[in-house]
Amino acid sequence: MNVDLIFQIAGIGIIVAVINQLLSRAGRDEQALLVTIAGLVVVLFILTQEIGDLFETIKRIFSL
Amino acid sequence: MTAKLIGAVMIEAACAFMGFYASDRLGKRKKYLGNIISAMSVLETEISFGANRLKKAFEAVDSMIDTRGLFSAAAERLEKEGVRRAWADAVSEKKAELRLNAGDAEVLEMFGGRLGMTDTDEQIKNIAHVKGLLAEREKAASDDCAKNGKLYRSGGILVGMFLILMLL
Repeated sequence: MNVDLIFQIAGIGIIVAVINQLLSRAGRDEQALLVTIAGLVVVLFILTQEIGDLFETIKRIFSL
Repeated sequence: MTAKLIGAVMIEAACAFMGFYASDRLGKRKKYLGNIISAMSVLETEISFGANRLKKAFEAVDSMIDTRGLFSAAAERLEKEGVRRAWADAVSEKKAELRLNAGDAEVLEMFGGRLGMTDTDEQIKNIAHVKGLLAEREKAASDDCAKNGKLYRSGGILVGMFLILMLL
């Protein structure tokens, strides 16, 4: 398991939170929501490989 | 590793530049709208007290106030195209340089439509009317600049960081 991945996702989380605050302060709540959703999608994209690996491991352990 | 670092710096620089450029654009629009309003005041004086011909008045305005050559562009075309066309062409030529949006350009074109068609009093009324409209637009531009200028600057930097983290 790569520890860098955790830091990368944490970094994206922090930056998305800051952009979200910035946009909602400027009265652009819709775009703030859009950025949050985009951040979520990006993180999920990065995680798909890991989630796939997790499922494979579970299958192997329980010999499904 | 070094290549990654250089790439990251380049992405960050590009995004920050775009943010600052967008913010600067808002500031310039505010500044030039203010200058055009002052130029209108000078034109008003030229017409009412100087009793100058329009071409001379335009050139005089341009030598006094920085409007990126809007008035001299109109003055050059004046004899060939007539007031209305000359002014409209000058506005559409210079509107990108003056960072004006479509609404601002429309107000200015309306000014040209009524210029030089009536007597001095009516022209001064026209100038005052356009000045009022432009002042409203300048106020809106000022609000826009205060509200969105900071957003674009910090937004550019943050989006750059976001991209770097995504590509890392």
